[in-house]
Amino acid sequence: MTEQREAPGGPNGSGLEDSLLSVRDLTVRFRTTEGEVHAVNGLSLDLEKGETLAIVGESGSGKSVTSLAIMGLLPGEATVEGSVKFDGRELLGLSDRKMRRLRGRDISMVFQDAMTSLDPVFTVGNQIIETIKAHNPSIGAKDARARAVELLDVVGIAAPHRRVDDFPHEMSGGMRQRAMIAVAIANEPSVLIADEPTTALDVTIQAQVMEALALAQDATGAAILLITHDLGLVASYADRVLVMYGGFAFEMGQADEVFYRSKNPYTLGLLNSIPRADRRDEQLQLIRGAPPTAVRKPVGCVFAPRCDFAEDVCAEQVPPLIEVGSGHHSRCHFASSSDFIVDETDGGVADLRSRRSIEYEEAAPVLEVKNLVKHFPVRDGFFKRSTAVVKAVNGVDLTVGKQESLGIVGESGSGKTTVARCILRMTEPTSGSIKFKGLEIQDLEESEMRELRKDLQLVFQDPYASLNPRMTVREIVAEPLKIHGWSKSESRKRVVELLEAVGLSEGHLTRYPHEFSGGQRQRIGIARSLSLGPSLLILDEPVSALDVSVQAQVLNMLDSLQAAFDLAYIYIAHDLSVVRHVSDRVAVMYLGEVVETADSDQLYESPAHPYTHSLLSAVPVPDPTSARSQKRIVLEGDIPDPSDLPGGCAFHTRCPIAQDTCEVEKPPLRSIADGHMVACHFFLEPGETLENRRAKTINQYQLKKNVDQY
Amino acid sequence: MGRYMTRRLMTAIPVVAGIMLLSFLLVQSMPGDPLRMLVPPDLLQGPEGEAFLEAQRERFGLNDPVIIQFFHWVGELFQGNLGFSFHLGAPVTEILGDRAGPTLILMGGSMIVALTLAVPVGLMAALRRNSAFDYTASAVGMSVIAIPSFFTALAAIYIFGVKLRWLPPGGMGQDGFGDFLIHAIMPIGVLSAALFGPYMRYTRQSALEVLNEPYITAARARGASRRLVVGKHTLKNAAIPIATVTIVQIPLLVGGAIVIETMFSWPGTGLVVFNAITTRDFPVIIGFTLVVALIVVVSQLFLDLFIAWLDPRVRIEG
Repeated sequence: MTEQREAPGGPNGSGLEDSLLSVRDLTVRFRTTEGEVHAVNGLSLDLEKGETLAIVGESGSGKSVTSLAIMGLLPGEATVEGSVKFDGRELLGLSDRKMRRLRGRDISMVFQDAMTSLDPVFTVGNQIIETIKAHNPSIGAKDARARAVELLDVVGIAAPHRRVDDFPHEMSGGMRQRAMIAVAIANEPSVLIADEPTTALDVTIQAQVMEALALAQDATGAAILLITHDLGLVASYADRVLVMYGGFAFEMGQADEVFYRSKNPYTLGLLNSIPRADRRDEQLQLIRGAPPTAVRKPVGCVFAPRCDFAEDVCAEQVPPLIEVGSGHHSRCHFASSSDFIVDETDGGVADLRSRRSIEYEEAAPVLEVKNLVKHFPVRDGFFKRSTAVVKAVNGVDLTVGKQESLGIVGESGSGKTTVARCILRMTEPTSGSIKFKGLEIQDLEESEMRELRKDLQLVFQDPYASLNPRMTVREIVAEPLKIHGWSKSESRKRVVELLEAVGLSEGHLTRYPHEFSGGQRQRIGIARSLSLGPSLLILDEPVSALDVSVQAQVLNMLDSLQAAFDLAYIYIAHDLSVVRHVSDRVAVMYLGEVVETADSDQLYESPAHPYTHSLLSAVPVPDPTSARSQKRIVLEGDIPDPSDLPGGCAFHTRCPIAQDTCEVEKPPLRSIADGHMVACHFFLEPGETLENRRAKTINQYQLKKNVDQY
Repeated sequence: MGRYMTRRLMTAIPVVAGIMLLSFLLVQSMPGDPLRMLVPPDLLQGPEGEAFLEAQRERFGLNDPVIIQFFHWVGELFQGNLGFSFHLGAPVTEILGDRAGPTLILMGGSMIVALTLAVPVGLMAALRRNSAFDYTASAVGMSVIAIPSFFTALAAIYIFGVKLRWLPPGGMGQDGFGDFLIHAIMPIGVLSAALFGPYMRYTRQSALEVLNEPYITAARARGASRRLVVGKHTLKNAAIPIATVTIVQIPLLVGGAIVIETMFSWPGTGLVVFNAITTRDFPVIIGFTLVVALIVVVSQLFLDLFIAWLDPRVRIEG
């Protein structure tokens, strides 16, 4: 290894010995049936007491493998070399028995998905107590239980003495993740590794969990190794950042250094390719291709095939980590010599998104949804009597104009997907009207509906599950054509046309889905939905399963397809940043109702509904300075049970500015400015924030609510 | 939990009713007149014979509509009357009742022996995946699945009973517990060998699946000892599929038990049923079927209860 002496020191250039956790030249290789995979290549990092170091990377970057290697939890097929020192003590090569004493006591871990990372057949309390007892066998049952309750309280779980006996499935997603944090801090570890701790959660819940993590850090003084793909989280919570790609450390330094003075083409590409909720991006810059899935023995820079600045040397030599500033290192041959300004006319930048709003409002709407209601009866008992009703959608109005994109945002349980299913007639609405191009779709016969589906298509969320693995790309894309009676030669021509439109080529026709990356698969899925020339495409979380650098490609492609294929979009997502980027108009849903709808810039810049406010404030912005000044309004609790809706305004239970009226009177959706509708008695004026409103109106109602809680 | 069990019980009722109806229809479709089979032929001579038959038909309710007969039959069932064997000239309840004990001992004993061996071996094979132990265990498991148990039984009788004379070749010992045990070794051994294969493979399979779950990694990450990870988290989660397979295989086990009992002259229901099958003694066959079906339904209920105890998620889903 040529990099032995380039190991970066701590933030103050502090030496090796002082670091709490110090990793040197960590190399992890896996033996697989297809040869050896180099998962981590010569990684060095230092973690100081009490600091938060974020490891950012896409899938296959080696970030999770690194954390498992530190914990000594890699499977036997892995070869681990290098050095991992905790408090000066070498961990690599320790027996499992010795490692066990460290795990959960000195170094502990918060895993990605608490649903699968907590044992479903034992109570949460049992698992906390197990952790305490593993390192403190002499503790009495009563004390251990008291400690478990105390820990649940620390991470902000209400009524911890009751919750301690809950099984994991009895808790909500956010609560489970907090419980997971409680397990991790049970023995006050000095290092807490959080591996994608909020990835599957809604933004408001993510904010709660990150707050719990911060509380846990305060309570224990632990250093946090935050492993994530979300640059927003990094900017908001990390002191220092390590960017990984293909198993290599690509850039490392103080958060501000990396975000504002990055000297690495990959980091820059990543920063430019993410859509942001706090500003309108006319276009997203692209990184071509997809991250490598399994790196063989690397020759040259692993990023070179996707890099706009690559030269011959990049393909031949692994670039060294070069010091480019104080404690700031970048792995690039040109780190100290080049500025990496992307040439805007270069192929790396997608077409500009044309702004259009007024011209389509006059055009006849493609889709008009009026007062849509969908209630699902819950059948229970032996005779399947309906005992409760899940009120998924409660009177939704939506209009989508020609070539317009309407974004629908909301947390899980807001009813956004049910609306889509009703529009596609995959489920029968309870009441209301859905007019597609003036036709009431509920009156249509099954055969007429089949005809109409040509015009109305769906793109699925998961490109891995939605393509039949036993069909070739040609068969997949041609399937709708076949159903609608196209001839073979016609359909082949059409398929090639479509593949080219989504950035694939004729050469891909005979290949199978597993030969493609996630982004390419999603392109295939989009090509399939475009095959019959629809005028409305419903996109249900189309990029949420994709890597950050690949998301941008698909988003930009959707943008250019819109004009080329004369498409209107309904874009359903929980990611507010993505929705802002792709939508002309946005509707915010909460518990089956649209609470606010406006032109997308209007909505993001001057939201009127307190729910929209708190949603936006919870989105981590990938910019350390604004992240620091960002006032996060953490909504308390979870979204209420849709089978037992709160009376009055459905949001009043979580609303920071609710008053007595809200509890009894349902606010109508009314227009407050041109095209801006909001359903709130006390909506916020442009420029007004929830904080100053709250300061003005500390009222009886809020006081009462607080009293009720205790 | 209570609600869950009530619901399970409620679904078991139609199953039992269905089994009864099917069994009854089988009786009905039996060839020949049951009275002619029961009454001595000399009583049936001449016109008085016909009149006698008619009177008897009236007396036994055989002229009633089929549905009334069905309810009569069900009524008898609930009083424990399974009918009357043509061949053995005794009530079916008595015939089966006397022999039920040994059969249950054979089946239950084999299940217990097979489980106590198969679960640790399967668990160990999963923990040491692709090791010599794993391969050996899999090979043994495969061979006991592949070799039919009547062959194992024959081989065992020949080797241990005839050649070495270590064990009695058949029968059930009557002189105290020790004698009983010596007689039980071979039949239980052979039957549990047949069960060991599938039990072991299922244990290995489900343990492997559980060991791959994130919560196992998470348990290790909090410093849980190997004993805790395996004995607590892995075992309890893996027990659910193992228990299911064990219970679902009971009907197969009945077939196996009949063969084994016949070969070792074990005085269980096997011999009687075997004879009933060869002599077409329908009341015995139907009575036996009914009893086995009921045992299966009841053990399913116990399985549900056991799974609900293991897995809290089942309790609410129902």
